[in-house]
Amino acid sequence: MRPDSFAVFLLRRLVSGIVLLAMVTAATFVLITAAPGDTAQVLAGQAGADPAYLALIRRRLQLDRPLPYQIAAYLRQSAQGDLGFSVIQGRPVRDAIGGRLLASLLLAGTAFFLAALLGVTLGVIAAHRRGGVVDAAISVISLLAYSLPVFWLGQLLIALFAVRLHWLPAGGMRSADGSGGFGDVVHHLALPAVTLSLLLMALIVRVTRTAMSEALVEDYVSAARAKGASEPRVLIRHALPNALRPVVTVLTGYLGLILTGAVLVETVFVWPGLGRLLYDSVLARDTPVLAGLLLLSATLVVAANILADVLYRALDPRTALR
Amino acid sequence: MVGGLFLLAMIGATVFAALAAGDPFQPSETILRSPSRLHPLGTDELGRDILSRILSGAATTLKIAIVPPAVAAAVGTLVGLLAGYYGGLLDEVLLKLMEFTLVVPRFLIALVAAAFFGGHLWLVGLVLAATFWPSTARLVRAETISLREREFVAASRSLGASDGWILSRHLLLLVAPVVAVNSSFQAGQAALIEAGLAFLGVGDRNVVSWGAMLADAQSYLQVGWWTSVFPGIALASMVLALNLLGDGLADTWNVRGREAARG
Repeated sequence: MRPDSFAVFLLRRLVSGIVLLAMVTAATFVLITAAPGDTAQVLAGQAGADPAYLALIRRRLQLDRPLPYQIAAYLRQSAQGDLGFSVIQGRPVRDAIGGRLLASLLLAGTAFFLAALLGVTLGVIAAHRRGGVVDAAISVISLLAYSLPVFWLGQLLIALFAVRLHWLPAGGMRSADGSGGFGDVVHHLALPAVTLSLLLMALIVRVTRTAMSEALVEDYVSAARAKGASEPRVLIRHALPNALRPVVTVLTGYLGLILTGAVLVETVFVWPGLGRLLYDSVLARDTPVLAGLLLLSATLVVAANILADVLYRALDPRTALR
Repeated sequence: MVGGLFLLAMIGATVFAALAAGDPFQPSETILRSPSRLHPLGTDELGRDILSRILSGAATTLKIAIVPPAVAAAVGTLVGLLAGYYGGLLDEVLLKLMEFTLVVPRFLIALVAAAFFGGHLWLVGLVLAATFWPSTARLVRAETISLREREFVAASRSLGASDGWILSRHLLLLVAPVVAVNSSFQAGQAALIEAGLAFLGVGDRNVVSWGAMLADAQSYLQVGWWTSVFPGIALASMVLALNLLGDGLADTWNVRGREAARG
């Protein structure tokens, strides 16, 4: 069987991705509608509101329409980029999400960068020193980082660096006194970014170590050494590029998860990102925002998976892009 | 195997707690006391004994760490064996389902479900089991596909063995290590997810949860470090034990570990 050309491959992935997203959206609606209580009740206040009033709100919000109608209408709208209107926030969902996007990207991006940089570095060192004390120490660190609950780690960091040492702020993104310049944001970013990066870093250390250990026993590594290449050059120029593929797969796999996966970290550090928005929307029964966030999260996962496939092909000369 | 020993100790402590320890819900006048002989791990903001609460919370964590992965292991193994062995429609459906459950993060599904339907422990368990089994099934399916063409299967068949015999006597035993390793990591994840939900305040309020203890502690970090440190150590060591168990099993049976089992 002849392998697909790249364009056909990409098109196929895109189409199946879109079908998947439509299914996820439908499932989200079923879940949200099946739950007791709805937006109308939250809006009307405490239980025991006038039934006629509730019915009026439901008609306004089209909550009285049959579920398939609601789903179809939502899919049609969101395909055009319109995610609906949040009655609770009093503004379009797109604005509610857009207002948090920057903070989320900043946090997730920093955490990602830290995890990739530290994870690959430690993984390469561990593979180079395989079986030694340094390797064992790195293994213990990554196992711990993989097992610590992020919200507890966040608490400990706050207790140490904010409460005791007063080095860093305990939460938020800017100082209340309005001095919110670049340095101020970085100051606030440090603790949540480190906390969020640890789990991913632990995974990357393990994957890098395994892949590098496999690469280091290959013939081309011996050949490079025989030619007299220095050890750093052997590690970084020869072995690492071949070990990067599984690392890229793990990284892109987490790309889709990290935005909303930050719910816990953003809650501990009161970071005004999408995770925090998601948590608030869940509590407030803000269905349109919630549906929008779930759709966004699913879109990111699907996009990240396609990206992973593309990079996987790009990094392997045998399936190189044509 | 350190992990396994630790787990046994935890289970022992839980049983002991059920028999002997004080009431984890009993408030008292002595609020936010640092560790003392009467309260070895101190008391919380309502004067409840933290040690009793940690021991009681262990039962919650153990339930959620054991039951959903076990259910997922049973269902996932069955479906994975059948899909891998027979292929066809079941296989197609399984793959689609896999894709579907991987698209929305498990924690988000659990969060929405817990917030909307009330975070009863059984509901959280149900969501976890429902989202764990497809990944178990995928692993078992892959193993089964690589095993079904082996010679011993052909040999067994030529001796007159039925499909049922081959599946239950041969393939089941051979996929068991992969499932066990995967389940250990899922157990660690389950413990973290339950604690995370409780931390966010959408967990089960009728049982003691380490996550909820940590959420309460958030407001008292400055005056009572013990309210956060001890429940955190309990949770972290439980998850660590489960991950160590997974790593140990993976080494013993030469199974690809966490990277493969993730998801």
